[in-house]
Amino acid sequence: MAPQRTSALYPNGSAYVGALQHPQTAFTDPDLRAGTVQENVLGFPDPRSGNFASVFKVTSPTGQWAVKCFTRQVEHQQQRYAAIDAALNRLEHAALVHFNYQPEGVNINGTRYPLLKMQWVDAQELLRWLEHHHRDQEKVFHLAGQLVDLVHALEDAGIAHGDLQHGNLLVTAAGKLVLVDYDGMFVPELAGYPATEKGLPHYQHPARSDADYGPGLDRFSAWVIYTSLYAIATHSPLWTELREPGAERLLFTHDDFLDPVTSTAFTALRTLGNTQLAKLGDALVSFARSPRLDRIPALDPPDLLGVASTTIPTPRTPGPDTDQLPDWLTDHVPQTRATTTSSLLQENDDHKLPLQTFPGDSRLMAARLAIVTALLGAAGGVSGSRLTAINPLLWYLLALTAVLLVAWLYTRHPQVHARRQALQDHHDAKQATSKAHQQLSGAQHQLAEFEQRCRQHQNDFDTTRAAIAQKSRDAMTAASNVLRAALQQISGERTALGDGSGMRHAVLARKQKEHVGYALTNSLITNDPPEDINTLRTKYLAEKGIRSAADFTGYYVSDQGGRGERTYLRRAGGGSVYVKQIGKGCAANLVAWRESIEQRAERSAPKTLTAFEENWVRGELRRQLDLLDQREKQAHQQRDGTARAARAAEQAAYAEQDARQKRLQAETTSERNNLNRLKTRAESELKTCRMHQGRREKIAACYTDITGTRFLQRMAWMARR
Amino acid sequence: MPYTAEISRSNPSCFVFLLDQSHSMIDTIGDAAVQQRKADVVADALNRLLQELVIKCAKEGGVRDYFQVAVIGYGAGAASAFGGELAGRDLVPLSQVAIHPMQIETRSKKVPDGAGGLIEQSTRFPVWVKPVAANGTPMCQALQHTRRLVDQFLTEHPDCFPPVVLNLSDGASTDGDPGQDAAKLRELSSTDGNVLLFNLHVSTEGSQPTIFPGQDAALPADDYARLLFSMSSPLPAHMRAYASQQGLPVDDSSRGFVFNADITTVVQFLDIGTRASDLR
Ligand SMILES: Nc1ncnc2c1ncn2[C@@H]1O[C@H](COP(=O)(O)OP(=O)(O)OP(=O)(O)O)[C@@H](O)[C@H]1O
Repeated sequence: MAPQRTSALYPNGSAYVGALQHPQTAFTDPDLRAGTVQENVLGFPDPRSGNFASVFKVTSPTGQWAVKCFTRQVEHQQQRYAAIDAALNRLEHAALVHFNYQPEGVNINGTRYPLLKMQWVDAQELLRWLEHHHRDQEKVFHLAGQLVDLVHALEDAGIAHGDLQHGNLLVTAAGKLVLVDYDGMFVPELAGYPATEKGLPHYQHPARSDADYGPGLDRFSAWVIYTSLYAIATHSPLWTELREPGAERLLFTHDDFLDPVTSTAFTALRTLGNTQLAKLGDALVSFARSPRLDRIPALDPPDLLGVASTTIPTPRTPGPDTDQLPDWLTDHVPQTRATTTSSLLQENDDHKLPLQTFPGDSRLMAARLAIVTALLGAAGGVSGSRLTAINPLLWYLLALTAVLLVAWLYTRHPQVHARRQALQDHHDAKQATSKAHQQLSGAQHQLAEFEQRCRQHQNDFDTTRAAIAQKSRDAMTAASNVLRAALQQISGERTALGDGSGMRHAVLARKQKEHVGYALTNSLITNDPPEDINTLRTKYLAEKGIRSAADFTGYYVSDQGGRGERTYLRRAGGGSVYVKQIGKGCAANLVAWRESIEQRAERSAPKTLTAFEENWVRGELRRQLDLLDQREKQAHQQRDGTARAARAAEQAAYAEQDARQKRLQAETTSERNNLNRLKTRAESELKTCRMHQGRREKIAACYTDITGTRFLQRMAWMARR
Repeated sequence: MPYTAEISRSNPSCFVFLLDQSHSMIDTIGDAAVQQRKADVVADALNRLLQELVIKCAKEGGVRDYFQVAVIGYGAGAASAFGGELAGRDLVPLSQVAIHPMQIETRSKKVPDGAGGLIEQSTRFPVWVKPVAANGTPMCQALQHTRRLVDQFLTEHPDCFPPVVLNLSDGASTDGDPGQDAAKLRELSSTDGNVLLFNLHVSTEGSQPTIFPGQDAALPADDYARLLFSMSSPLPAHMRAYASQQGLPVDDSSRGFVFNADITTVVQFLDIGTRASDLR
């Protein structure tokens, strides 16, 4: 897709890199056409870029050239360069390079764009140079000296570079300082043109605005650079102490100028024990506080070599000598009465702007005239009818016109206009501050809400964890209860077993019962009939299955509902039976017989256990005890198993929670960082707005005297003169 | 003021380029005379952007690490699209990008010879990514991946000039509505401002090329164009100022959205180092 040239967009760097591969078609200058463009490791034209241009090195038959190709359009570039060229030619300073502006110097895809052909300076940028030489006091001082010389030359010629900073200060191998990039330069011929840029902030005064374009433009930057060089020369560790590696600045940042009180750089300069350095730093603080650029003095430091040789690193003690500014500075820091740390660190009123008044200019004269006319008119109106032939109404009209003229002169007065503007600016600044305030509270609120959410999450996690722990505890308790019940049961059984006597009794009882039972079974009625039990009765008994003493247990008599008595025998196996011819008497005999047998048998029954039985009982006891032991062990095992399972479940649940929490934490950390950054952003925005508002307020305060009354007073005062 | 942080070696920023490598990029755009596959167009644009960034940061002494750069291709997934020496890497310091193009290509074109005729001339240019057109368009995935990269970068460089994410696509996301993920990405902020998400939309829709349109601009009658426009960050004030200085019609509502046109200007609008704030 071909780049769309929908506007006056300038070619970008890659377009130049493409075109400059063929100098013979890219350039219009025959000399450059015959040249070769310096290449990088990949064989492409090797650019050095700024924000407005890329510079290429071209070696032509006539020499080495820096060819600057522009990537952003600058208004009136050609006129500007023509004016700059003329001014610099008059100056002829060694630190300046000659150039030749070619309005149609380079051809990109059939369109011609300007280029600037300069002498190639074989040099390093200031920062790179300092990287290597910051410990070389002599070299750095030498450079500072060249800076002073250059700045003086420009100042004397009414010229300002506009963007005095490290990127535009080159240092040759021989230590020679060269200033490049004249895009933003002011020369007297350019008065009235707007500025093209505002320079790198780390070198610029906080109050520099788009409207600033004039001879004093470089003063603050010059002081910044000089102070930096001086500080590095006298105390080289500052180079690393006050700068992060690779920082694109000298010792100061724009923030140092905005807020000198909290500035590490200014504090360092003051506390190093070098009086000269402390004073330079304090002077810079004072300049930074100046509300206007044009009140900053031109760079004019003391004799460099003299200073260099007297670098006495004695600890700075407050004394009369340090309270005095050096002579060379007293002129420049008019209101800094004392440079003690405390006085300079206080937000001083030294830079209160002058109160604005109405200047005694032609407008005031006109107003005075108008007032006189009005008075005349009024007077004429009163007396007009009698003294002149003119209608009094006309007199009044004249007076009215004059009054209106005064009013018009007042409202149109530039000072009044300026006052309106200042008030408006102040109002806008206040609004901006309140907006910034809102933004900050918004950010704080968001953060608070977020933290609240985080706490909620944390609570949820804690609750879940507690629930997990409780569940596991419950499972353990239940298992322990089961165990306890089992152990109780077992211990009961063990007590019951005791030393085996219970079992022994049981065995003996069974044995005795067997003996009795045996005797009963063996006592057949036929063999030993009880009283009254004859053969027939024996037969009837046998018919009903009652043959021995073991076959019945007792009897009872039933009256059968009044139909006569009947005797029943109770069978041994349960139930009862009626036996013919067995009445109450016979039954009683039978039962007595049986009881006598039973009693006899009980008496004859064995009273002890046999050895075999005793052995069996012992064995059985051991077996039973073993069984109990085993059951006890099992019960413990069961409890342990349940506990282990519960603990494992607990661990798994915790692990899951941990994983979730970790995920959430990563997310929240990221979000918290983000919200904190947003808050910091809002805070610094508010700080800037407040500072701006303060400045606007000061300016607005200067206009308290620009009022209608003052205007009239001033007129009257003039009239009286 | 947002977007005023210094871009320097001690406070670098980052650039993440998102390159649509989906199958739909095989379609051609342009008029009958110059037909180009969309995949070629975006790869070309990306290579030019990288070259521009490298040139912009070339100083006396070499290319400086003012930026870390990632190129994320999305198609089969979302991963580094760097080739050659840098293959597989996410954020790479710019000085490394500068010396490790995948290859150097030569293209020839006819140029006026200055004597009324035309001569054939070949121009070399560095190539970091090759055109690819296959698979779907997991734009959401690409934006999520980018969010992770950027989030990490912001943790390490909280005060940086906000990272710039430049998405080059035809807009037909196949893994959901990218609007959500785009919003989440733009929510990330350094102490200097929110992440900037810009979109270059290449479309077969033959509408008028558009650069940084505002709310009133007639957007191409293309749903994807609307989507990508709505995903794009508003242009920061200083970029707007540069754009209008360069004669582009922009207003307060202008967004970092470019339709079938050159997006290299975005790099041109970046200030290395800082400039005073009035211009912004
Ligand atoms: N005459 C010269 N000889 C050698 N190198 C030069 C010359 N002029 C400029 N350069 C180099 O090219 C770089 C860019 O040039 P220059 O500062 O003029 O560009 P710019 O776009 O105006 O920069 P800035 O962003 O500072 O305004 C300089 O920092 C310097 O290193």
